[in-house]
Amino acid sequence: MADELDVDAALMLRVKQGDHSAFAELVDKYKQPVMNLVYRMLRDATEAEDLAQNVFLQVHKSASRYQVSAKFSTWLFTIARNLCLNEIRRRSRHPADPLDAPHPEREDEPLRQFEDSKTASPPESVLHGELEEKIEDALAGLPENQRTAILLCRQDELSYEDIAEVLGCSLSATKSLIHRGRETLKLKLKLYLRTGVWGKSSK
Amino acid sequence: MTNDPLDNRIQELTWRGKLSAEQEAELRAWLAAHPEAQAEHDVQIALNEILAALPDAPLSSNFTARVMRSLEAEALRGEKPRRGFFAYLPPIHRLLPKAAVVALTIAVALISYEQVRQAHRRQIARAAVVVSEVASIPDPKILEDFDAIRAMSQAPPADEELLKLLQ
Repeated sequence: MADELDVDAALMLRVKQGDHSAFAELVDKYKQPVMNLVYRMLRDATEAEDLAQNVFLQVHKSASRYQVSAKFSTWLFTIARNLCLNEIRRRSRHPADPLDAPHPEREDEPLRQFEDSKTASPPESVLHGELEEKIEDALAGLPENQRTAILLCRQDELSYEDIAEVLGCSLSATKSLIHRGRETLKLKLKLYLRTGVWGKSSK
Repeated sequence: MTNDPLDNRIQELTWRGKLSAEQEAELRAWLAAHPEAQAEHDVQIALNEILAALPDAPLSSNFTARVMRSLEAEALRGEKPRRGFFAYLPPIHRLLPKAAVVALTIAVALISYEQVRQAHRRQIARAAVVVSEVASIPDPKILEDFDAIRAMSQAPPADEELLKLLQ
């Protein structure tokens, strides 16, 4: 993991010197993890992609303020979360158009379209549509801080301390958020956890 | 979360998808010592697998290219000169036109006020002249013999014909 940090820090140092190719490398590396977080916070693919782009644009604008001692991924996810929270607050003040609103000129098409470019799931973990929907709904039903904590927990490069830094709370509070979020998910998904394909014993 | 720090630590290990060899060994040892916790551990592992198996969010294949294009566009916007004469000025000088309008308005107001004041003074001066042209008021001491004067004013009129003959 230390090697990962060094790679990211080295890339950011090059970005600070105006190296666009270094920045493109960072975008390529973190675009999917950022998009995974943003998508599950906003629940709108088009807006999530726009916001994910803004995350990286903000990273580039703030490159001069980046400290090498800071972990790049923590900094990146902090920016992503803050932009998501801003968008959620903006939505609460200005409700958005419904996703299925018709296009003003082509009534048979929705107002918003996005490319169907899902990356392939690992072949050993095929999720049924219904189960996937249940999981997404269960996650969406969590309070934002619990949901974010659990989603960040999926990022192997983030320690609990890093997650706490992104959330802006203490380590113990972060672990409490994860615990409570997982307990809620267990309740909502208990049918699938105990009787479904996921009711496996430990290795 | 329990009050037992070891239980919490094991729980926190379980939450993470990937454990080191040492962490795996620690977990197995703890489960061996606490068989009653095996069922709950299985549920936690199942939840981990569900969360890990969530598909990646949909992402455009040209996402990176679009980010880089946006960066280039922003860089061009930063280099382009701003339009309009006043845009070149430092911020404080952009206030000058507005300050000039305000100063002009104040000047007009002051001039108008002064003119009104001057007109009022002229009016007062004209009134003073009128008053000064009025016949001077006699000395008040004359009025001490008011009764005598009044009696004199009541004397019969002079004989005009007699006065002519005497001349």
